[in-house]
Amino acid sequence: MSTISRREFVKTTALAPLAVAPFSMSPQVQKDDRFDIVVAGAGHNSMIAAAYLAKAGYKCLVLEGRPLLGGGVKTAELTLKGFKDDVCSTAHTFLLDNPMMKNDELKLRDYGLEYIDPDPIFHVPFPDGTYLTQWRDLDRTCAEFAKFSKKDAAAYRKMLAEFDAIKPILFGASFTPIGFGKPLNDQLAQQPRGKLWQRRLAMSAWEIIRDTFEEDHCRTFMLYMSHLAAEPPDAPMTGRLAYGTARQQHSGRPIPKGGSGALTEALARFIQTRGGVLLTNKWIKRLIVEDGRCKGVECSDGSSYRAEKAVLSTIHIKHLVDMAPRELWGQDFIDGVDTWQAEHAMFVTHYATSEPPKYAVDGGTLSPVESGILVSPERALRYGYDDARGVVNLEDPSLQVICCSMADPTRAPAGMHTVKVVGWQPYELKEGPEHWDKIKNEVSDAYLKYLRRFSPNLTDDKILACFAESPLDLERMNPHFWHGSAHAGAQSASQTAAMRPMPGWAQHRMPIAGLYQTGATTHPGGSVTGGPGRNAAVVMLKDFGTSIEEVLSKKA
Amino acid sequence: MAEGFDIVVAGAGHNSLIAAAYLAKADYKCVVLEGRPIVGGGVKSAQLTLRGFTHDICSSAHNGIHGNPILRNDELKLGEYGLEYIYPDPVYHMPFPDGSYLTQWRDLDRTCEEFAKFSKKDGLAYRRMITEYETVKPILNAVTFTPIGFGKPINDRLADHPHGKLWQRRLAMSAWEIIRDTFEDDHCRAFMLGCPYPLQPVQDPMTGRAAYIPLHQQRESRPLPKGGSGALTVALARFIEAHGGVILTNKWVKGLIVENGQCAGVECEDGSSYRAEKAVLSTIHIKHLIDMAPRDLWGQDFIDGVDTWKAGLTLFETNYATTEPPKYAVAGGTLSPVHSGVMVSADRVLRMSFDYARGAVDLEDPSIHAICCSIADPTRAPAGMHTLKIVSYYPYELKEGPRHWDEIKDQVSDANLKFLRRFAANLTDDKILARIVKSPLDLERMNPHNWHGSCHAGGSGPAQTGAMRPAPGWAQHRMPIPGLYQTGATTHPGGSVTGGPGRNAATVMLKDFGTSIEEVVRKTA
Repeated sequence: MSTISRREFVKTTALAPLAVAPFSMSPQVQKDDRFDIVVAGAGHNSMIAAAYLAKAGYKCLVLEGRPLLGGGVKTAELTLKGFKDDVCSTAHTFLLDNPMMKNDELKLRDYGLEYIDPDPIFHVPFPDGTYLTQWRDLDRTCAEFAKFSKKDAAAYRKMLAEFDAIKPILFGASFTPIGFGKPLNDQLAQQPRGKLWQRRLAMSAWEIIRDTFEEDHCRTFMLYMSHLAAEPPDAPMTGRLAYGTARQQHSGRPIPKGGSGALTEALARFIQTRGGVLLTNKWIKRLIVEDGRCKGVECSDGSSYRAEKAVLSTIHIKHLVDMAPRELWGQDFIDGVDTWQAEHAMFVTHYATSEPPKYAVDGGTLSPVESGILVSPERALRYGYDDARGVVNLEDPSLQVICCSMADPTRAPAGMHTVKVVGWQPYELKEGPEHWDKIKNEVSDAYLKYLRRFSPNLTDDKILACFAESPLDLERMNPHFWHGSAHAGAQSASQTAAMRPMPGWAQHRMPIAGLYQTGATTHPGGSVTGGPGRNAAVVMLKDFGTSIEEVLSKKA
Repeated sequence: MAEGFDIVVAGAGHNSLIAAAYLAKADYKCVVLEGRPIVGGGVKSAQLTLRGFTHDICSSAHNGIHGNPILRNDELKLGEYGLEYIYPDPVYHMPFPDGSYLTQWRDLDRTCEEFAKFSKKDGLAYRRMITEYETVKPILNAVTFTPIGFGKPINDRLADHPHGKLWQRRLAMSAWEIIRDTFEDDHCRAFMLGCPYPLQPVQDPMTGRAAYIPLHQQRESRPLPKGGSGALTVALARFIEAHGGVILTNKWVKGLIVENGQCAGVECEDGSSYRAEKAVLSTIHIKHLIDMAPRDLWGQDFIDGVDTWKAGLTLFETNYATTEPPKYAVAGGTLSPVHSGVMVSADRVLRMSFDYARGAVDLEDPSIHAICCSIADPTRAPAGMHTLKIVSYYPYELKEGPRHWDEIKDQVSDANLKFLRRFAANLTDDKILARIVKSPLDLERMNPHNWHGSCHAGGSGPAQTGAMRPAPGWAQHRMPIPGLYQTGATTHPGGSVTGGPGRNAATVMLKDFGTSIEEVVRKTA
């Protein structure tokens, strides 16, 4: 570690995101500018929706409160100049199954978006010195399982085949607005083994993994990938998460060249090219409602913007509800907001280093882009308990370690690296969330100390700077991370599908006419899927008398 | 056997007996075959310890069944067959390590005062919670006592409720989320989570309804049949016999008789066989039922459903014959309630599901549910004596394997008693005349339907409830083999003494026979 203490570093680097020159903006809006759509908040979902709407010929204005676009899909120099850190998300695994990418509907590559597919996909070292590495090559991955159990290797191959057979239906449900397609159960009912999948989806990931794999290392690896969603892997209805490893076997865990934010930058270019305007430092203060209809928004700087057709919000529902008189929302909606639950929060530390993590493997060391630490199934089964009781547990913590500079040299100066270490802890502590400010550095240190047991090369002298974000910091950095929820809130049974954001309001149409909602509080929820964005566009275009298919059929 | 029967019932639990009773009332000739010497399954009482001490072998309180039309509308007039209920007051008592306690009385105001001792806000919260619950209770009840696919889906029913959407979410939330957000004091939270523990991981999604268990028992207490839990099944047996039915014990069903793809009867271990003109009704656990006919007759969906069936949370029980009831210190003396329990904190309750998941037996501040029926029902024990059941919560699947239970069960039982003495100090060794210990493994040995120790036949999470109980596609009591029906805790609405699976199965069978349960109930016996 340099002579400056980490605490000072946190202080000095806290403003780093603001120091970065914002993505080039179009000139200020003129008085006589008229907009069909005002988009409140610039996350990847709201920008995807805006992109489709702009492609449809609607004039869009996107307002972002912070100096940088992107929300949770943003890259900035958080530690030192020249080190590009992903502020929140890194891998875009799910996005590539979104028709936007799968069918290249927006040709975002023409706007600078380029993906890198790291190999190995994921590496997990174990305390006994063994390790399991997932490679893009299936046979090679099966060989890794076979190191521990031939039976489990065969089980993995079988599991992948079963998942590949059903995934078109599962993905179809994610990328279809609620109530627009056939219900998932009806679709499954027509499949061979569809009834088995109905049960599997209602089971817990742990039950499926325990029954499919016999060996503890294999179970631990599978549990690791399933717990990345921040849901307790032994909770009912997490069965789908048991297939997290299988899910990324073919498509890997792609990262955008230049940083996660390259996606939102490409979307911004797309929107501008279609006559859209994007403004930053525009905090939305309230909604303008006239004759019971949402007509625009007011910003904290006193400016206000009107929408001819609709307002699209990606503001967290816990804040959105305060931006218009209570009575306009209706009791059902308010009940839904009041009962909304946070998720098991993330704790993130960004490091600028002179070396990547180096894990001991046969014949040398391995430095993968993504690696993780989980010591045993039992450790994963503890999450639900620790989260429910609001306790920070630093004993053998599970960690996610991401070193994008391994595959993308543009992320750091030559020979240098960006390392992001992610852990999971509750936002609500017994002492209250403010307590995080007291303990965050010690938690961050404990994580690094623990990581060194597996990657001893990451000594202080290899660490040039660091920037720790507690669950409380995540919320401060982006109010959409309500109570530290990087996915906006738990993705449990009561907050998914037709109940996201709440029963009766899952179709992106909000109780106030003319107001639509997208982002992680809407189906299919958090992480970089673009699903909420494209789904919202599908609903809005339908309400405008056209359809997304029609919009796509006309050439750009 | 010369007699020809319309219906052969395989297994005599309270659900299969209820179904048989409705079918007998409808004039179908029923034979009920029970493998053990006494009918009743999990609703049975016997002298487990000493002569004159009548213990409930599994169930004790009959809350759920009081919402069942069989009792609510007195459809079978079981009172005339000897069934009589006692409604204990207080309902539930929970002492805490700090010397404080919370007692639930049948009088709502009195109960609210108990909560208010810890937090005025929580006293009000409890009152508000019961008001809210009672507006939705009829809907939840209707769903429980309607076969899957027969009535409106629950969400459609809730749509008619002024706060139906809120209830949709509440039912999908965890009991812990609801209780934590409703109550501020840890004593109140611990009481709500554990009076008694709902046998579901309270922080799991879809356990929201369990947060309302205390309110469910607020009005009608935790009713006990006079003479023992088994008095219900004894009355049902009398009813069936009075309606031309035959009940045979020591008849272990070994296999199903299937002819031309139709289930035509059953074969017993003793070589006897019984043929059914109309149908066979099984309450055999699906994990065993599946082995009673060739695999290919069940179909892959059903086999998948059986293979993926999970046991859920399990119980550990000790029945005692004592000379005294538990005496808990309360303001101005002691209290000896029928139902009491110890949950030292909300945190301790939350740890239980972690211990279940990892197969650990944690004897530190164990959670306890104690039942002393003899306080309210003197017929349970000789004059001045008592029957005491201490229930605790431990996994069947230990790291060392379930057989390990035989080595540790006595010390686990001792630890539970030792812990309870911290709250009921009077239960010293000299007050204890005898005991019988039942580990989760013993519960399974005692009754194979308690598969892997599960008193409710299996877990009641979303993968195994509603249209997925016992298996997706087979939740309407009709089994893949024509002529075979299923009831008991493996079917909707699941385990515990509700009689729901029994009456629902009768509803489906009578419909298939061209009549209806309403029609049958209408006709005078």
